[in-house]
Amino acid sequence: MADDPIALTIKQMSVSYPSPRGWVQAVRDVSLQVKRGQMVGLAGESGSGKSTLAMAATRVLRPPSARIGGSVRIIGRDVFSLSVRELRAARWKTFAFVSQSAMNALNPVMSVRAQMRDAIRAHDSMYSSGNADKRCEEVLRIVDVPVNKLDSYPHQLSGGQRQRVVIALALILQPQLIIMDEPTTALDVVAQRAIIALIRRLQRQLGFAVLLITHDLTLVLEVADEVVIMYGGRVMETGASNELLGNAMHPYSRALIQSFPPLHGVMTRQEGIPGTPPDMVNPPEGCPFAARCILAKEVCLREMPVLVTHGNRAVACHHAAGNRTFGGSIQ
Amino acid sequence: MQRFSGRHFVLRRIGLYILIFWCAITLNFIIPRLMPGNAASALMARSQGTLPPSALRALELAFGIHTHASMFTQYVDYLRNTLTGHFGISFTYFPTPVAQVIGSMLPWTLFLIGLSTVIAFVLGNIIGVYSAWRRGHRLADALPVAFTLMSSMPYFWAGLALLYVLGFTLNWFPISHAYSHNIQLGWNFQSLGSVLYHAILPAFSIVITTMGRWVLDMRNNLIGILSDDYVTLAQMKGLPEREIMVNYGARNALLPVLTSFAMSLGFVVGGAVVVEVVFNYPGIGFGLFNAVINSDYPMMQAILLIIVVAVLLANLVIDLLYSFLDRRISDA
Repeated sequence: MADDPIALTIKQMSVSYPSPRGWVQAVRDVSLQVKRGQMVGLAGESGSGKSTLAMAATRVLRPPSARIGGSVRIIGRDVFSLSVRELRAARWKTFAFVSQSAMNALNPVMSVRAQMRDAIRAHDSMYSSGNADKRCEEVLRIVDVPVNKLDSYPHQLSGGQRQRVVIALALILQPQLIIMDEPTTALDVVAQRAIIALIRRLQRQLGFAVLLITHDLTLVLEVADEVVIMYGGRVMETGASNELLGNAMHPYSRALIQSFPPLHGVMTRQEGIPGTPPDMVNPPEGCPFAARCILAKEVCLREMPVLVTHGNRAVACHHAAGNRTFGGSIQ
Repeated sequence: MQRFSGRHFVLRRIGLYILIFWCAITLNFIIPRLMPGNAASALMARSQGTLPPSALRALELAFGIHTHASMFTQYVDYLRNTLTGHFGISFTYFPTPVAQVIGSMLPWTLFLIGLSTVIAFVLGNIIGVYSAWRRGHRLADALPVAFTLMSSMPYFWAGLALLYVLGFTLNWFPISHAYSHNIQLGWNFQSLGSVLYHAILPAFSIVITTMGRWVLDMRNNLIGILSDDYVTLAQMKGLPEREIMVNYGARNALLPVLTSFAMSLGFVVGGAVVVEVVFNYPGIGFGLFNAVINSDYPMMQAILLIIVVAVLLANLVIDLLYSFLDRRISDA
């Protein structure tokens, strides 16, 4: 169990929220896998269901505030069959979380030290306070934050420091999996790059697995080993990032890649994707992207394409079978 | 450096409160002097001509009213008297000095109203935390409604109802005074029992009618805070529920409530006039009521001053408490 080579397996996960208009089907039949020591990017625009997926998979989101189907295994353990007690024990120790906005992820009335120590204390009551302090200092050093910031309060730290502190907090119990939900959203571009480089470095050094949730596909293509692209609550395409970057099969992936400036290379005019995401209370019968897709045919509107595996990648598109024939551009 | 800014904050606060106190006592000096007449002429008017005009001068001397001295001398005298606790002589309890009268009333009010206010605050917040944490459960959702209903009763009405049913009809509780008159008050169990027994009804009527506000405040604040990212993160950290509820939820939800608590603590001293009158309780509120009825100006002035001091002190204490509970305040 402990030497399971897979850190996270999500199988056929569906999540719906109740709303006044009916159930919002935020996530539909999503499966993905993160191997130990691997970094997998989960990309998609806002509303694609990527954060919901992470929240439901870690049981933060739970009935009655959502209807959840599917199964999740983290380091060999079935998350949904854990008792509340076991879940509490597994949290942070087995899998930690870096939440969307570092600005609000820290309790404003507690010092950094207090917020790190309560995590240690909750899982290991035998930890002496001297050892706990030593560990707090250690993780701060790992993320390049001055150790004297331990007694600071969140409002006394800069945005970048706060994000680093949140990452340090995630590292404190040496989890095997860290789920990061838009860890760089609130930061400026320079700080974003530094944080991503830091995460990548730590991940290689310490060997934990990362599920990196972001809307920034080019960023994730550059740093992650594998990428899962979601749209309208479904997986559109998955594959190794180096393959996806040059040769995306799904029209949506291509459009998404083209809507971000490349990190390196020549500056070109950026194109957006016209149209808006589908209404998830009444999701379209066919491909959710069909309404915005320039390649859409009658079959796309009628039938949801299945996720077809092509070697070590997979794509859900009616056009994908002969994707290399429809040319390099979809504009 | 942080310590320095903290001490700086305390000094700044105390300075500010001294300034406010000076403004308050100066207003307390000016306002009565803007009104026509004084205590002596009020007494002359009340005698309806039975006192000879020459008695006015005698009364002025007796009350220490120096209409002939300059405003400045009067102000300096007033400041000195106020700061040394010389508030003059009460008309109602003539010739007892006001300070002495208030001294005998203040403990009763602090005990009854102070204790009930604190009990209402503590209980109300605990119930508020419970009803926010367990929202969706039937009891947790019913409690705020029940307390809103109770706090919509004016407390003299609740007091009268309790007095009539539990005191008068069922005869379970005494209907007036702070202790039985057939005992000698002292620090013994008999006195203590009697005092507590007499305090139950008035305290209960204050607690049930003021608690609702704390329940609602705490519940609403906490529900907002429970959806904050740091609470989600605390759950992700696998902290025990109780710890999340207290350190992450309630500690943050309490901050805005503390200010209204400071206000209500300050008004403890003059606050429950009606309750004290309904229950014939020998506190400051009862004293203020009598002072108004008898045009007892020195008494009124002294009680108003005490209310001001109490409000200021309570606010100062809460302000200083804030700097410990929320570092953002002392750093600002």
